[in-house]
Amino acid sequence: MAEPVLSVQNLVTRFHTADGVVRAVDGVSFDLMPGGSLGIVGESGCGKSVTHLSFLGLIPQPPGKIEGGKALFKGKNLLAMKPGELRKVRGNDIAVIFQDPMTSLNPVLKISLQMTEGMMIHKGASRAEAEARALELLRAVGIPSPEKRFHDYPHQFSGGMRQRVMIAMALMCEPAALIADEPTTALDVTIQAQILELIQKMRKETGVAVILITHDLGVVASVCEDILVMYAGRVVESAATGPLFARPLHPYTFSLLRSIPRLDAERKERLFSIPGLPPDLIHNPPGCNFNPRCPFAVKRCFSEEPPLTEIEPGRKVACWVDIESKKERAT
Amino acid sequence: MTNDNEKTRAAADIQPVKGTSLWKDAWRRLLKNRMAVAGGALLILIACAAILAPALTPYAFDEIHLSDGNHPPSREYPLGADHLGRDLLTRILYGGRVSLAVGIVATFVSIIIGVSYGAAAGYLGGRADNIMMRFVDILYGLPFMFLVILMMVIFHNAPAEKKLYLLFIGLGAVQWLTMSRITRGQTLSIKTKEYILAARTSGAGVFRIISRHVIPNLLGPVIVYATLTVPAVMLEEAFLSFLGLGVQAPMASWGSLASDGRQSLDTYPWQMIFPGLALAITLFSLNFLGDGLRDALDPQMKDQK
Repeated sequence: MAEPVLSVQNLVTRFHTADGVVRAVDGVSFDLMPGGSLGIVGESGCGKSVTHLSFLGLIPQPPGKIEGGKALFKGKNLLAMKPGELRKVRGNDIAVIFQDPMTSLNPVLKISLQMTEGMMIHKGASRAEAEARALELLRAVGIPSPEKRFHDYPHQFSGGMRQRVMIAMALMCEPAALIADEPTTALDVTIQAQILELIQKMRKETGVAVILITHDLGVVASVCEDILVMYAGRVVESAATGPLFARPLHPYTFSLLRSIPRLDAERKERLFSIPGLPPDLIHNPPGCNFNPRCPFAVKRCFSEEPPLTEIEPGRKVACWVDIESKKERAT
Repeated sequence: MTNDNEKTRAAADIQPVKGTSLWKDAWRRLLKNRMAVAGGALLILIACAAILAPALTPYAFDEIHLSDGNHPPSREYPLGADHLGRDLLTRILYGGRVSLAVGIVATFVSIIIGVSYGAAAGYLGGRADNIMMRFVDILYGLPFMFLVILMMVIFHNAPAEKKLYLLFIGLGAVQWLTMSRITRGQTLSIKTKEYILAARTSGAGVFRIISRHVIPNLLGPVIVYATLTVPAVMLEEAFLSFLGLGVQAPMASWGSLASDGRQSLDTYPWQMIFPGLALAITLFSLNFLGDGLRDALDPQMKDQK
């Protein structure tokens, strides 16, 4: 098996606030293979974004603090790097696309300036070289007549177009990994599909490994090979996409899948929603974080935290309950 | 499907919508504001007159005609003459050069110091911000006018041109404090914007983010405050010159001319009225232009009124 481009091991990030210690990321591990695609799924506030912001050195410190773990990028630990070294990685080896293309582009600078900036910083490229590359990428992401649009301001583009610009911008330095943090959340559904298709296309063409962070299981299903399900700062299940959808093993994954509207559902059937709210991460419940909302919880769930255990090759789950046997009883 | 997309895109391309930039929009709104346009036009006129002074009057600014001392306004002396028989119009035009230059240069100094200081404090945040802003607070506490006066007294014997530079620096040093506070406040809100995070993720350094991403977004409020700083500085210069601490004879500024005229206000009132009028008109124009710019760059604020 090839070496992973990015290997995060046991990452722990905490925020020391006046109200207490927020355990935003609590022992997250994953491997991203070269050219691979990994989906990180979870509700708002479960630590998806903090995970990548942590190893890129972008969480505000203080109050944030990375308290443990490693993030190996091509064998080098990002967490041990000095800010200056890390800056050379950001945008150059690992690029990020953010959720809202409306606010991620600087409104007062032409996109030509914003796109070329990174390549000129990292690669020492001349303006002409960077502009040529930018035009080529704009064409690749489907901006019509890029020469004309190149010197426009962000507000002259629509939301979908801006996200295309963001993707082109992220790929400027030929990064080894691309982190897309909810890239489609702010876009409407038809544009969402186009953007996902584009990310897929660019992945195939450039061989960049993609981490797709989202709360939408539908999004990861179409794009990612592997999926990581997070809940309250922990990984509760990780598996290849097919098996995960076919046979979810963690009650949370199971509930998430049940709460997706289906076309073939009975008309009278009400859409399932997970009862309760996620814990506030300062006062985690004892035992498993999911226990207050879990339909299958047993006694042990309230006292002991389940470790993430490999139950079959490539499949890990953190649960005490043998969900397969319980599922029939619940449904 | 991709083909279809490209077709519709190509169709949409035939008639591209002409986008208007933020600045074009602001410019359009500014042109609608009559007072601001009038103010701007007057300012251009005054500035041109000051620059073209040698071509506009037959006299030199220090040309003395003792026999025509205190001559009232007439054909030879359109605005009268002072006690040494120097043409007042000439002196006002040349004095305008000094007054306008002080206003512009000191404002420029205050922008350079204030904006970089404020943006740095705001962007760095935390302890750096705290220390930098407490320093500003301390300077605020000092009676700065007193400092400028002290400076002028200490360098009493310096040559006249050097004194003028001192005046620029002194007045600029007073004005940058407020500028840095305004800039810092704006920076605090700008730095939470996602495009700053995006710039950080793309590996831009602190200096680059401040200069390329923060400061261009600050320009609106800075321009507005600058147009309001120019009259404030000019007024301070006039005040200093009035006290005899600013521009020294034979050079003139509007403040020093008004000060000279004050001594004979009862008998030869034009000697004070005309320089005062020149100063007042300029200040009014600047204020109207500044208000107009503020409304043009921040249209929401105007609607709230």
